[in-house]
Amino acid sequence: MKKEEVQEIFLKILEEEADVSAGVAAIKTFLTVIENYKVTTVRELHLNLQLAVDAMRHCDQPVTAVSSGCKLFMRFITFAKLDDKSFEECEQIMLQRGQIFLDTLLEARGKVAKQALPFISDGCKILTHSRSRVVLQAMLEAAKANKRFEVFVTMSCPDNSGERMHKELVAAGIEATLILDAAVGYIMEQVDIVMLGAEGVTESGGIINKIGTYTIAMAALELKKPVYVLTESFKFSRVYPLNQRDIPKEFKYLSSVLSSGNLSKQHPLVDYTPPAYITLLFTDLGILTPSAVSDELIKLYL
Amino acid sequence: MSSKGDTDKTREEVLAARQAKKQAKHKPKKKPTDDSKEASQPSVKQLSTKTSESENFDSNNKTNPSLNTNNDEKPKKSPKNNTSTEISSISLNKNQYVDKSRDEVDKAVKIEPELTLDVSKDNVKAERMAKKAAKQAKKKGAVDSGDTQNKVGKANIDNFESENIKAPQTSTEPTIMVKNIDKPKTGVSAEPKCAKIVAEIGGMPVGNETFKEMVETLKDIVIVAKDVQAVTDKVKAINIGATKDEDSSKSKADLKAERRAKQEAQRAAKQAAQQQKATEVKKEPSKEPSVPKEEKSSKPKAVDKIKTKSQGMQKMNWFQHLYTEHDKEALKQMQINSNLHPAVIKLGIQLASHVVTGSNARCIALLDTLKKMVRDYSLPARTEFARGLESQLAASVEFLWSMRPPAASQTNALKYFRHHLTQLPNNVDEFDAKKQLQEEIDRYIAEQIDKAGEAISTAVREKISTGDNILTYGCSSLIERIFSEAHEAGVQFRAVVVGTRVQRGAREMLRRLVSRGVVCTYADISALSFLMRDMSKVLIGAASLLANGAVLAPVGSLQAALVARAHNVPLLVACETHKFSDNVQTDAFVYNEIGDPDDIIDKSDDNSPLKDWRSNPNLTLLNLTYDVTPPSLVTAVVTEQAILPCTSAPVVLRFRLS
Repeated sequence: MKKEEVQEIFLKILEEEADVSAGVAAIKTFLTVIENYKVTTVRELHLNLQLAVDAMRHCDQPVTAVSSGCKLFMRFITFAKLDDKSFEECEQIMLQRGQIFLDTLLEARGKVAKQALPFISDGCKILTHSRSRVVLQAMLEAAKANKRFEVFVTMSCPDNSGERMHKELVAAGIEATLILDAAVGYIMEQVDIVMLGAEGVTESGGIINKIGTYTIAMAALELKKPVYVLTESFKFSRVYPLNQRDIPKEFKYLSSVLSSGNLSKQHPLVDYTPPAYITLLFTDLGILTPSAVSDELIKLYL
Repeated sequence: MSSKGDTDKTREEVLAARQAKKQAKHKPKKKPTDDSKEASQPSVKQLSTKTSESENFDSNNKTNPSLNTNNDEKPKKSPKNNTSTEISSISLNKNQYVDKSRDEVDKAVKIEPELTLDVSKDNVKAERMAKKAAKQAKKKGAVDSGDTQNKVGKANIDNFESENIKAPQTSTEPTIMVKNIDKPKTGVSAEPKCAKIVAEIGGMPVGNETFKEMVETLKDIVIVAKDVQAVTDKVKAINIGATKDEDSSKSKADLKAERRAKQEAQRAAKQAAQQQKATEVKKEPSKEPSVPKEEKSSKPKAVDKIKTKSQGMQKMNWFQHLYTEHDKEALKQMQINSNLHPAVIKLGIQLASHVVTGSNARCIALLDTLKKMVRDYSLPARTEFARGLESQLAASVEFLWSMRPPAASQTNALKYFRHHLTQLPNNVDEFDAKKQLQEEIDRYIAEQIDKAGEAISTAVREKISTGDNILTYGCSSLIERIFSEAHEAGVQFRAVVVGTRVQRGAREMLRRLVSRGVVCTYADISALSFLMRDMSKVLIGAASLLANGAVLAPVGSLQAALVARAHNVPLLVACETHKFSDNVQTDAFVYNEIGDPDDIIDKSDDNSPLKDWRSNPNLTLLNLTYDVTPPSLVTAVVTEQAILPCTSAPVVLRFRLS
């Protein structure tokens, strides 16, 4: 099994399926790897998957969700009782479990969106940052439920993904306004709630998300606006940053940039929002306070 | 038995005869030992037996030669005399024992000369009476040739030791002591040695500066012995004199000594009628010199006297519920025929005198003692092993907790041990049961303390980056391990150790880190806000993690946490899961440990306004041991399972219990 092949599969999935997130694509890649590349022992399988993760990290795609999703996936599929079976049976079991994992994952977004529905009240103004598929789905659901609300979306340089979000919201008939990243402080007094997505949820209960999230959270805390994070549970990771510099480098920079050497002049892609700034996390496991994230993580991992 | 009221000469003659006899007995038994470990082993037992009550004088004889043998080991720098060398090495034996068990007992075990000073000061006060008598006696006492004196002196000293430890024939004790002091012409050489023995029986190495005090001490002994009629009265007087010493200030010692003499005479008159038999020796805490340590007979009057004294001790209003009467009283109130294992006694004294400090150290010391207890436990007939051992365990534990309240690590270790004790099948073979229990203890230490420390060290290493300045407060064996291993792994960082004048832990930590090659800085706690600007992280150890996520740590940690929060410096707490406790505390008032108030006083300052604090009714000294850091100030807790937020402590507890 070669790195390039895995990367090919990964990128192909990302291209073909329109709305798939990097994490989901990674899981699908995994399943493909298990199916196609035959191994004879569980250990070999583990090694294969490790190689696959490593390959996907070097694809210039956001690594945070890939990393956490892969770890959870591996833990989930090997959690079965595999002692007394032949390897083919083991493989089958693992494939089955992998498929279950993927299905749960795909449903997660819907669950989260439903949970967020009561929190979007009529006439409320929501501030969101960059483009999060979960937040988008939640808002679409709310619109379908005939709620009237207004959304402020930040442009979120450097990739201007906020513009894409704005377009999609307008297409769905939701009243949306595109604002400058720098205008967050200005607009904060007008909004009622802040809704954010997350690329990763850390063990501390904080989130790793597109750069600029921390600033929004700080402004929200100062003006006493609640911050709601909408995320799936496979993004829970065992990372524990103590401050911004402590975020793992693979999360902050693209792999091509990392390999180039000098990082001091590079712009990070993500930042870390400590749990003190987050009011609630909406996940498919339930609505959690930041301190409960660790509890859930322990349940998942230990 | 020499009569009490005889002339000095008569006593001396009798004593000389006795000494000669003992000399004859002791000499053949003396022989140097090769291995320090072997020596320290018996010396340990000696110390244990010393401190434990001995029923017969034979055991005393045994201890003496062993002591003598141990004496021949490392000679410390000491007065030229042979005996002094031997005697001084007794103190080394204690050290050797400590060294031997360094792997078991935490390196925090350190015998502070300061303690000795305190102890000896107490002793001094106790013996000041005897000092005066000794002076008089000396003038009268006939002095033989120097050689005879040395021999006799040595024998005296031997006897002195043994008698100080426990003399069934207590009626002779004070007189013998008197003789011991009287005999040597060159009081300077022998007396300080005697004093050294006295102090060293207490288990503390004696510094040279206490010689004079010891001289006075011994003189006091003579005086006391002379003044009181009944033997037990004399002993009692010395005891009570010692108690009084704790309360009296040094400068007024002389006045108090005179007062004491009067009181003792009065008491003697009262108690002459009561006591007939020789006072039995109680177990003595090795902390105090043997003389004041001499068993306190369970006379109600004496007990009452002492109680009123301790009630007179000033207490801080909000901490009334935390004060214990134990101090040095419980040490005297030990039962005579206690069944406690000598290792338990020894541990109790080590805990009470803060020789063993640090939650890991105390836990390991406790488990080690339990192992010894299990090993030496002899099952009485028709008793189930588990039940029999449980009852002995309960007695031992009660004693230990009265010496010093338990740390969370100790409580959890004990719970674990008890659990396994109850898990033993009913009809288990004694040997198997012992083996199993000892294995369980070893496993607990290996897994919960050693491996956990390793895991935590590895986890924290990722958080230490090159060029970091990491601040730590106080002393923690775990933090020391983290720093040394990170340094060995090649991470370039600077450790800043913050301590206080009162607590010795930080300086000890600094010494250890420097010896491992870690780049260190030391600062007093008052410099915290100045330093914090340049710190990358703060890393502290904990005594325990409470169920609400708060951190119980040595007093001052909360201050470091607050300053860290003020400067946005992340705070990491390193704590193994065996220290997690079920308690909930939000402040340091509801539960704490009151330390020795005299520790706050600056001993090196002679003009300290706090010197006579007990005589000032408006002044109370409060020395708290712990403080509570709320979870909001802590960024993360590093355990061997994961790096967790503080609020997840109950989750881990839940997992541990299941």
